Amino acid sequence: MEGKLFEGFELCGEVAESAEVCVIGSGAGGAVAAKELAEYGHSVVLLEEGSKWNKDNYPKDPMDVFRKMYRDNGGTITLGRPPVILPIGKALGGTTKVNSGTCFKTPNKVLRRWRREFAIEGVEPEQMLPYFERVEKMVSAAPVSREVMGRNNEVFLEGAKKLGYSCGPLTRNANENCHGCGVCTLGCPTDGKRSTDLNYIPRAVELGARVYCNARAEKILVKDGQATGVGGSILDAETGKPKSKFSVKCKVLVLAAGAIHSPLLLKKNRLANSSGQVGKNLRIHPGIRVTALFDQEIRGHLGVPQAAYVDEFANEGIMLEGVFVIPMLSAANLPFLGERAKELMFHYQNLASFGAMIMDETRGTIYQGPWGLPLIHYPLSDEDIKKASRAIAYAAEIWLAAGAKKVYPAVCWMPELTSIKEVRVLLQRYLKPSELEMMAFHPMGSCQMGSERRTSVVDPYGESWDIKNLFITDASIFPTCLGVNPMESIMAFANRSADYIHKMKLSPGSA
Amino acid sequence: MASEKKLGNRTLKILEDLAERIIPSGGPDYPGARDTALVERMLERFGEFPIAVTGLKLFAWSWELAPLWFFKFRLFTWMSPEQQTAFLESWEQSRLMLRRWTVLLTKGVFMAAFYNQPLVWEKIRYQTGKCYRVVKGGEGK
Repeated sequence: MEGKLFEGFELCGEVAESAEVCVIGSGAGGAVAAKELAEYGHSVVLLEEGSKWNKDNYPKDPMDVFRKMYRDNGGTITLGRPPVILPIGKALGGTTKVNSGTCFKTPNKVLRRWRREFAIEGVEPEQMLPYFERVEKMVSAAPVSREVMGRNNEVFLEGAKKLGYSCGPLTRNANENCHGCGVCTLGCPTDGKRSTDLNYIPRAVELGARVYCNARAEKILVKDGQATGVGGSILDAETGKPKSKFSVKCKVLVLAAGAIHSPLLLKKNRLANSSGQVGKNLRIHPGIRVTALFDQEIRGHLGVPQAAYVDEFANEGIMLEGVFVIPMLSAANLPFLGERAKELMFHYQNLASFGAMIMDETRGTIYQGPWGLPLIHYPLSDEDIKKASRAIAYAAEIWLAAGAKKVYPAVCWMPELTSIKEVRVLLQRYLKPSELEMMAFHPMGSCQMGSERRTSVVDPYGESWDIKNLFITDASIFPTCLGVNPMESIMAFANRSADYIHKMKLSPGSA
Repeated sequence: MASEKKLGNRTLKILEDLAERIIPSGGPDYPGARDTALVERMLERFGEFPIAVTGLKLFAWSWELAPLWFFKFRLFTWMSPEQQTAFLESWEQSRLMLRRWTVLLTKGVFMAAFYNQPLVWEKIRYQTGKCYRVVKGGEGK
C-alpha cells in the first residue's frame, strides 16, 4: 500500500478504506502505534479530526490558534469545585502539537505501584526502559540547553538552588531548530519542537500508512464481539462541519483520541463498558500558576517556557515546572481589576511564572453532554487541596528566595504575598477548593487498564475486555496519575501495545 | 456593523462599562478598553459566530441584572464607575465560587482580547515569537 497524507480539502465524496489496522487519533498514542505497526509491515490507516499545521501555515493570531488547534477553542473545562480549565489539542499531532514538549519517563515508583496494586504485568521499570529509550531517540529528546532556557527558568533554578532543592533543566522533544521563541503552546513556529506530525507520522507515511486529516470517527463497527472498523465524517477544515462520510474496515482498531474523547466515543457507541468504568477514574494532574514580580527585568516570554523543574517534593506528589505564557493568558491569571491589574501588566517584562502540579488522587467522571460535548465532573478532594496549598507555598518560597518582590499565588483571599511569613500563613490555613484557580493539561485514567475485567476497561496491553481487537493506546489507560508530564509515557505504552498487536493479533499464526 | 445592531445600544453600553472597569482608559502607561475600541473589536470577532453574539447578549444582561440579586436595587449601568469597580472587586474576592468564577471568566474574556493587540504588545514590550538566541546574543554585544 502506498502511503499518503490526505487533508480534508482534498477529499470529495465518500471515502472507503480497508487496512489491517485503523488508528483513531494522531497524538502521542495514535501516531506511535501507527508508525510501529506500519514498520512491522502492516497496512495502517490513521484518522485525525484536526487539520495539518506547520511552520508555513500557522495562524498568526493567537486567538485563531485556539480556535483552530484546540478543542472547543481551548475552553474545555471541568465542572466541580473548583472548575478547572483543561485545554486539549486538535490537530495533526494531537496535543503534542500544542504542548510544551516535556519528556519524562514514567517514574519507577509509579510503574511498581501499577504492578503491585493493579497486578499489571510487564510494566516493571526494566521492562519498560527499552520502550522509553526507543521513543526518546525518535522524538530527539534532550535536556534544554542554557542557550534557550530563558531567564524565567534560570531565576527559579537560582532560587531553588539557594534553598538546596533538587532541580534541573527539563528534557524536551526539540532539536537545534528550537530558538526559544516562547510560544510552544501556540504551535512551534520553527518546527524545532518535534511533535508527532514531524517524526512518527511522516515515518508512518513513508512506511505505507494512509493518514486522513479532518476525519472525525463517530461509529465503531463491531461484529460478533470483535471490532471490524470505524465510520465517520470528513469535515470542512474551515467550518468544522461534516461534508462527506468515510468508512474504514480493519482487523484491529486502535483508539487514541485522548483521555477525554476516547471514553466519550465508547460511551456514544455504548461499547466496552461491562465494567461500568468507561469515563470514570479521570485524573487531570492539576496545577496552579504562581507568578512573581521582580525589580529587574526577567523577560519571561523569551526562551523555552517549560525548561526547568524542581522535583524536591516529588515524594509528596508535587512537581514544579516552568511555565510562562503570552500576555493575553498572563493577564487573565493575575489578580486585581482596573488600574492595579493594568499596572501589573505594564510590568510584564518583570514578571516570572512557574507551575505547581499535583499528583491527584481525585477521580473525575466524563459524561456525554449536549451536542456531543464531554461533560466532565471533577471535584477536587480534600487531600489534593492540601497538596495544592503546599505546592503553591513551595513555589512562592522559591520565588522569594530568588529575590521576587511580590508573589501572586492564585488564591482568592491572598492575591499577593511578599514574605515567608505570609507563605507560612498559606500553609497553615485550610484552603477551600473554591478559593483556588487551577488549570490542567494532562487528563488520564478514564479507561483504565487492569488485570481484572470487573474493575478495568482494558487489559494490561490495552485491549478491551469486551470487544476483541479494540485497543486503547492513550493516557486514558493509566491506572493512576503519573505525577509528571505524560507524553513520553503515552508513547512508550503505545509502542508496547503495538508490539503486542503485531505479535498476538497480526503475525501469521497468531490467534 | 451587523453584530452591534443585533446587540443594541443598551447591551453595548453594558459591555463597554464592564470592559472599561476591567481595563480603564487613560493614564500614563498605555491605553485602555475604550481607547482601543475593545468592545467593537470583540464584536467583529464574535460576529463570525451568530450563537456567540446571542451568548454575549445573555452574558451582558446577566451582569446588568446582577446587582439586583444582591439587594443593590439598581442596574449595573446605573452605578457610578467607582461603584461598578467596587461591585466587580467584591465579586473577584468573594469566596462564593459562582461569583468569583463569573468575574474571572468575564475578566478573562476582556483581558484576552485586550492583550492580544499589537498596540498593547508594543506598550508592554512583548516581542512575539522573538528568538531567544538572537535576543540573548544581542545583549552580549
